Amino acid sequence: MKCSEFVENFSEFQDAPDDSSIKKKGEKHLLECEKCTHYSLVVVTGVRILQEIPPVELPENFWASLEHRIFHVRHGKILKDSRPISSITSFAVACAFVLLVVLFENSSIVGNLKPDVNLPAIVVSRPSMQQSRTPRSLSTILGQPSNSRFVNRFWEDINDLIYEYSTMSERYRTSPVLRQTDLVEYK
Amino acid sequence: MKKKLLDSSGSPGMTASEQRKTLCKLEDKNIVQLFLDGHEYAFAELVDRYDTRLLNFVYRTVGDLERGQDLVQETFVRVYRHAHRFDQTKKFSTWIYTIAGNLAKNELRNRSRSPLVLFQTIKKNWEADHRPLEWEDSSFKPDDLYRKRHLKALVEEAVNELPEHHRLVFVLRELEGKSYEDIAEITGCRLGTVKSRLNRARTKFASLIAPLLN
Ligand SMILES: [Zn+2]
Repeated sequence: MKCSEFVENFSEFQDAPDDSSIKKKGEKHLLECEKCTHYSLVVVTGVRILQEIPPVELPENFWASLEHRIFHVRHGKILKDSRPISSITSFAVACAFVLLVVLFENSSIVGNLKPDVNLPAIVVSRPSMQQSRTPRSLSTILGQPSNSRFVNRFWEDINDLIYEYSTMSERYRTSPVLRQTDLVEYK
Repeated sequence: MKKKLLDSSGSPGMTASEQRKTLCKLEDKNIVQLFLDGHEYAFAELVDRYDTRLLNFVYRTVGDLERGQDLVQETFVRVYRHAHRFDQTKKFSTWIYTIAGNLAKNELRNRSRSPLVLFQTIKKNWEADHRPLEWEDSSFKPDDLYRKRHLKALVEEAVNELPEHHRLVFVLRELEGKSYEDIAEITGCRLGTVKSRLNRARTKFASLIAPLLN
């Protein structure tokens, strides 16, 4: 056995039963090797010194302090046990809430509170945003910078008007949309 | 607390000392069963059996007595709360050491993340390194008792110097006398890992204390 092998397997050698092969091999090596004998002696002596150190004592208030903590645990348990349906209760509250929301959405009673819109919906189709904005060339012709707020608003309104009162809206509409109005009437 | 729990035992017709005598004969798992059956005094017996052992184990692992006491109390609180989870086919001592060991590991992990503690450790080591060496003063002849005490303190300090994973295994083996199998269960490691960690811990320990012993 080499020294490195002995050190690598020292724990196994140290803790092995006396009649095991590793113990015998290790002991044989120790007889021949001073270095490993010293190493083994250092570990054994160090551990012995450590074991001789008197154990630390519990502080006087250890039990009282533990009792205090246990009291809180016990108290918590009692509280829990006395409210065994707490989780069921919270579930019931959640269910009731969902039910109320559904009722609010569908109920005819609740429906009476909704504003009654008399205005007929106007079907329009808006041009896409890219198409409706100020033509670059016109803005350049007018000599106004393209980011002028006035020019932008002007062309936006004109475009909308032209579009709404032309057949373009009919020709190019693909899907009907509801035109938004701010006019609502309450009963 | 002991007295209180023994008094509120719920075993009519038995004095506290009779209860203790009965309990002393029982194995840990039977005491756990008694506790689960509603006898609070059984819990006091468990605390009595393990308080000092666990305190020494945790203290050696975390190297801080006050924190050690706190963690041991936490261990008992967890036993109290989760006793029903204990697998009675296994050893109670392994279970309780596992709880304490995990708490100690968490403590070390949290500590390694705290820059304040790191600073305190560095400061402590720096102070230790710069302390005058008593042995080099020829006029100073300490008596044997003092020398021994000093040596013990240094050896104890050597344990604290071990890397935490190695230290845990080392303490469990050398001071608690646990088997490799028990250590594997307590630390949640494989047997091979336990062996290699223990071997490394011993080598490191030897390298730290060899100059002191020479
Ligand atoms: Zn050798």
